[in-house]
Amino acid sequence: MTFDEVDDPTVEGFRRNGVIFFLVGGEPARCSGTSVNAPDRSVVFTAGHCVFGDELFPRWYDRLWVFVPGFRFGQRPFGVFPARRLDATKLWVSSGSEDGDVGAAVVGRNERGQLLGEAVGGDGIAWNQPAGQVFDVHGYPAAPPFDGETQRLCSQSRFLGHDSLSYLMDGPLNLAVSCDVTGGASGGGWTIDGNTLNSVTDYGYPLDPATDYGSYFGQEVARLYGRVARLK
Amino acid sequence: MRGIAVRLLGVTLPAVVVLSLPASAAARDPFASSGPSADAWKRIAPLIREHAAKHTGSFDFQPAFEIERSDGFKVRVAAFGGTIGVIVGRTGPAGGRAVTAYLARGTATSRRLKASFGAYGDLDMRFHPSAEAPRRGRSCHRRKRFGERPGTWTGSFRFVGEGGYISIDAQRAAGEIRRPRPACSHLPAGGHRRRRATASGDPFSSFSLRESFGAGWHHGLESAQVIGLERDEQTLYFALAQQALGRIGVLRLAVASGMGDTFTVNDALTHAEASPPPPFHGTGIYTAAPDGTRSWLGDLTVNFPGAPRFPLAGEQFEAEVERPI
Repeated sequence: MTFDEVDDPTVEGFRRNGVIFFLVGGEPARCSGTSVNAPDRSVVFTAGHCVFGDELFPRWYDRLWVFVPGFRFGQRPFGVFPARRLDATKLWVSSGSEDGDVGAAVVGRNERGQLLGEAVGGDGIAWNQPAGQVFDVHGYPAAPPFDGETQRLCSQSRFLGHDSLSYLMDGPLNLAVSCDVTGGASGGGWTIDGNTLNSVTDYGYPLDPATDYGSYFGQEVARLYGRVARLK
Repeated sequence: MRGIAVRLLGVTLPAVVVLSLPASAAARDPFASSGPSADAWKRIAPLIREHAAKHTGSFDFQPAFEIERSDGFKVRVAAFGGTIGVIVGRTGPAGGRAVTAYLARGTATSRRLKASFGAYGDLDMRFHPSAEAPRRGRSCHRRKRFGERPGTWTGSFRFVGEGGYISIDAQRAAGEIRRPRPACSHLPAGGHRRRRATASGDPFSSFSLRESFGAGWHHGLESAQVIGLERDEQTLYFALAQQALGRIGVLRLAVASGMGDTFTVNDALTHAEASPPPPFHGTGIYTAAPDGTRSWLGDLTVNFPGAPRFPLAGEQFEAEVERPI
């Protein structure tokens, strides 16, 4: 399934997806993320490895971490939301298990003084759902053949199964769908039933760019949401 | 096997290793990793080893048992966290080894193993510790840092492999519960990591990589890779295949060591041939054309338990051959 360009990322259904820019060891890096409904209207969900390094770089990526919803060709139609706090599943932080590769940020106001939820709204979020869903996969792939300038969508991509290597990791079995992601798409939201977040892009295999793998949203993600949603 | 999931952010790897590993989709792009060199391999090998050691040492307990066979197969059932694996292995007369692991999520406690392997069978066994004292190593080195309580598993274990190549109907098996020893808890999960990293017996510590090749394909939930690493006068061969069968994951692994003449490469790196010893059979032939296209063809196969003559060459394979500069 092809990662098709979204014509207008500022419209309802797409504006909650955005690019995350941050630094890893002083080097610029980028991921994708999604604004999620929460009482503080300031929560972004993404991949765990977009907020906290793995066993090779076990630290928080809290330097210049910003979320830019609706990004397109360098434009920032809803402004820039800097992270105030980063968090990830305990599974990711403690073991680097791909099966728990989910992270989140509580962001501050943009340069216009708006909360994220005021500016773009937020997707719903669901956990403990059956794995066999049909997903809309969102993201901003930046590695070739993409350039990271536009939002992309793999529409109505069906659950294919679980990666065999997932059985050897701690946590719930991860999910595979057809979508030709590349670098930069990490953390992009997988939504079901319209705008309910139910997974995020985690990894792919170089020999098979047509398949995208995401973490299953179970209790670990519920706990993560509980932590970030109650922060002020 | 856990080491295969090592993340690649910021690490330069030989392309033959990159072929085999999942890559994160963050934008410090591991897809662009390159730099075939022995130094790169030396950098990644300890990471893989350390990652594997970390995870194999992370469990609170590991229940396991073995089924005695007279057909040459060795069958071990073991739990890794919430995953239970039926691991069917066979060692050839020359030392080459092939293993197929059937993996399912189930119930694994210090008293019970329960899982369904779908069409392959199911397992429900309970542990009865023996009166024998738990076995403890005298050091905290490798397996000795675990205590093992031997015992007997009773219940029901039915399993039939693909095409009936193996059939098991067991009500009783000898096994153990393994736990990390508290006396070794002061060590990092990898045990004597620093000492091991420089021990002469460590297969990676003195790894002097010469030529290497990797070939593979990955499509959806299925994949196959074959890797050859020439070291001194020998070449180490690995094959790995993945498959998902409903709620069952199947991993197949084969390892063999051949003499140097089993892998030949011309000076220009445009032609190579690999003829690994059993459980491999046949020859894989690498050709690089002036226009940059590369092929990995031939009749190379590997004899995995449950998948005899598994093809390891063909038009669907992407291949790399490397020589350190």
